Amino acid sequence: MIQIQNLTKDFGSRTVVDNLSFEVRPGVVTGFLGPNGAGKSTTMRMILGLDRPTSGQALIDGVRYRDLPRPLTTMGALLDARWVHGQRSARSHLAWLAASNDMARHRVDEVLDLVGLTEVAGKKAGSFSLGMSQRLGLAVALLGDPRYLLLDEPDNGLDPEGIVWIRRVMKRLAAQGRTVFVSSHLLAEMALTADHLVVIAAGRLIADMSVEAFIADSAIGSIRVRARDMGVLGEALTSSGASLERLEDGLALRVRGLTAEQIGEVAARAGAVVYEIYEETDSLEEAFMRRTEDTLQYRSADEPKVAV
Amino acid sequence: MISTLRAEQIKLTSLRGSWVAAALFVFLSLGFGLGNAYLVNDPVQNFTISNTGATEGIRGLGLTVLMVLGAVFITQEYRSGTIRLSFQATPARWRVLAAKGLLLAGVGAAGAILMAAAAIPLAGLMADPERHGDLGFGSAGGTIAALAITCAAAVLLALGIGALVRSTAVAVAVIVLWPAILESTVAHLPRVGEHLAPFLPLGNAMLGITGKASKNVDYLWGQLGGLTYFVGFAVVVFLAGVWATERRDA
Repeated sequence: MIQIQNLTKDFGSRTVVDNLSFEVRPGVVTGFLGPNGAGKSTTMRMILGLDRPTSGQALIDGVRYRDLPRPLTTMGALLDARWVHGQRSARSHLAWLAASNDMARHRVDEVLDLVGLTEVAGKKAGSFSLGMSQRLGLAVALLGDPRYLLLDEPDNGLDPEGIVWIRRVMKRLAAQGRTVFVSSHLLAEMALTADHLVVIAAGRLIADMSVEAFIADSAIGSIRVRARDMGVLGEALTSSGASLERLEDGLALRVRGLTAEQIGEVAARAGAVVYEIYEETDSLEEAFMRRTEDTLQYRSADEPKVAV
Repeated sequence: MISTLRAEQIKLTSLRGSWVAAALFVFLSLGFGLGNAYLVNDPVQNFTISNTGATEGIRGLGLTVLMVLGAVFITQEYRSGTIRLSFQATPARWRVLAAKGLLLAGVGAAGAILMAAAAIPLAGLMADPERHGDLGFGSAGGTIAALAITCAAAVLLALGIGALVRSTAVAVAVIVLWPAILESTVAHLPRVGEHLAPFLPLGNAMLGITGKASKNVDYLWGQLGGLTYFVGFAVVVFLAGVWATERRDA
């Protein structure tokens, strides 16, 4: 278990991480969400001992990262895929990391194979695309066969095939009982990957709950409707007490305040031909925006100098 | 510590730049000695070649190449970001720097000994036998030992500078400009210059190797004192680099 206890980080007068406390449990993928500048990367850097907390601490199995013997075999991390010397081959990059933690040399070839980089293992890492760098970064994280994985936006730069691949890898690693802690700005992706969410904004904890609970808790209950006679339908819905939002230049409507069944009844009575009624239950983005907006506004009023 | 050392060795040898630096070190170390040996053959002048003349390239530009290699060995890790992976792998950061220091000091000392062992007989072959001064292995022991110690210490100094400034451009500028600009400027400052000159580190390093004081400087100690002073200075800067690295965010 990863325990974040009252973690705080100030850069000068700016508080980037503000008294953060949460736990990351094994066996599930825990998503770490927050807008840019929320303090996600700084939190991860503090877990790894790269940044020194102003106060508080991060513990892995009850100890600080720097007290772990051969730490790469306990916790693997991918914070930035570009942390590679461009003139060094992928294999040499992994080889020095393996040597540093007394790992068997064959681990290098195993992880290269695992991430699909065997064929380009001898090529200079500087020639890699962002997607290939991301795979190499994941190879670094997996090198020590660690029980803990810390991944900062691992889908960054990956093509759709790569995104599906990394989603499967994370789920498989969690299913093996490992602790997977992954940040992402692709919230819809997180809904498909994560079981649990830790949401922060402006360095503060906003939510620490299951993905389902997070969506339900912030339910917007909007329904998307597309019809041939949008004008007629719109008037009928308004007079039935719904609030409307025009989408796609008026080709669709977002309806709030009515259920899908009620919308169908209204449309039938108004004689409107309906093409589509769709419940927007997957709008994690909206739930996320709503939750973080309050914090951001509070922060801006609180400290006008903080640009978010 | 062995595993950290092994990791640093892979880092060093897996970059082409290291081999370019090694080739440059060999070329400069031998080139200057051969040049000096060639020049003493001038029939008009009455010059002789000594061990210190044969090994001039090692303590001159050869040393500069070693120091640039040392500084870049750290600063390129900051530039590329691999320093964070190094500290993830080895959270006790002093170990990473100590491993770099041990490895490169060893390389520097071995390089100096090998180059001196090659430069002295090569100079003997190049110069006419009657122009041989104090040349030959019989009397070269002290010079070679001082060269090896100075090269090892200079690399530590460079690592310390790299760890403190974290920027390749700044570190290389400091190392290249130090002997050419910084030390001669300080020594020529009005009034204070002559008092500061005996404490300039590279001047002391040269005193330690050659046993000769550079122009108009009144050293408070002799050859061994100069060598000791330079080693002490290098160790202090290296430890300052370690201290800063442990304290700062990576």
